[in-house]
Amino acid sequence: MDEWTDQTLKDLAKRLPGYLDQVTLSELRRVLKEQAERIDRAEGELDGRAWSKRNW
Amino acid sequence: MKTLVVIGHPELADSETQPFLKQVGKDWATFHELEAPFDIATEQQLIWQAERLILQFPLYWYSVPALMKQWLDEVFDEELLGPQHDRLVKKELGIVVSLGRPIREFQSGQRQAFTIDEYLRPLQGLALATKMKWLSPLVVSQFAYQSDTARQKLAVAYQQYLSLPQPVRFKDRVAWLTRQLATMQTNTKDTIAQQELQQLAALLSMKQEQLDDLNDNLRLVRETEGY
Repeated sequence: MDEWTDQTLKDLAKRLPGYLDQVTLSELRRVLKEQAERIDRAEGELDGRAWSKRNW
Repeated sequence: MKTLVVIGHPELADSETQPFLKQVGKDWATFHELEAPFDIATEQQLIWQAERLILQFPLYWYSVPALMKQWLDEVFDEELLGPQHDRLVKKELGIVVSLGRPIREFQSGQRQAFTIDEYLRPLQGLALATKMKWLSPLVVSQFAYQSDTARQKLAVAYQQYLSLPQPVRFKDRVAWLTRQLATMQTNTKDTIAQQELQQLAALLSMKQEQLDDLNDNLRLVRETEGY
């Protein structure tokens, strides 16, 4: 997670202290992290397939 | 989605888990706390009105507490199912079960010997017999010992269990979150918070588009390669 996103999430957590908002922000942090991992994996697979020996 | 949560807890006043779940789930479902004796017609009406029925209870001796068993025995009759036994068709049956023991003990070779799925088999049988769609149970293990972080995660899992198509797909979590962020934006008067929520929602949506595109490309490549 880049610094801007991390800081913005921390700032929002201070501005919106209600429990249900905190709960949603915690999910937002998890989903953004998982989204980045999924993007990495998908890019990796595309790369891997492009360079696969089968395609030589 | 009309969700009805039926709570069968014999000592509700002493429970820490149940008020927490009710608090975090209040916008997503109707909560119905069982108290015997039951007015069968009212109970059946509640079930007919729901699209998703959730039975929520602490596991007592590997089963539902007596109060919930009594409710099941009395309320699930011919009248509830209808003459063609099809009045509950298309409804979903979900289970939220709380445990006093760690979840890791519920597997072969461990202290409790069997999985939660195995212990809940009779309820799965009920779903089959009444033609309701069975949802994977949501297990709350040792709530009293959970950290704040674990509880926040549980709160979201619970809200999504009440409101999202099951099993939950990543895409649905993103869409759910996008709606939540929009609601938060409407509810706060803090203009900086509104701006930040909007920026994060935009980021979330941009990244999801990127992910969807990548997945589309992958699908194409896999099809071309024939596997």
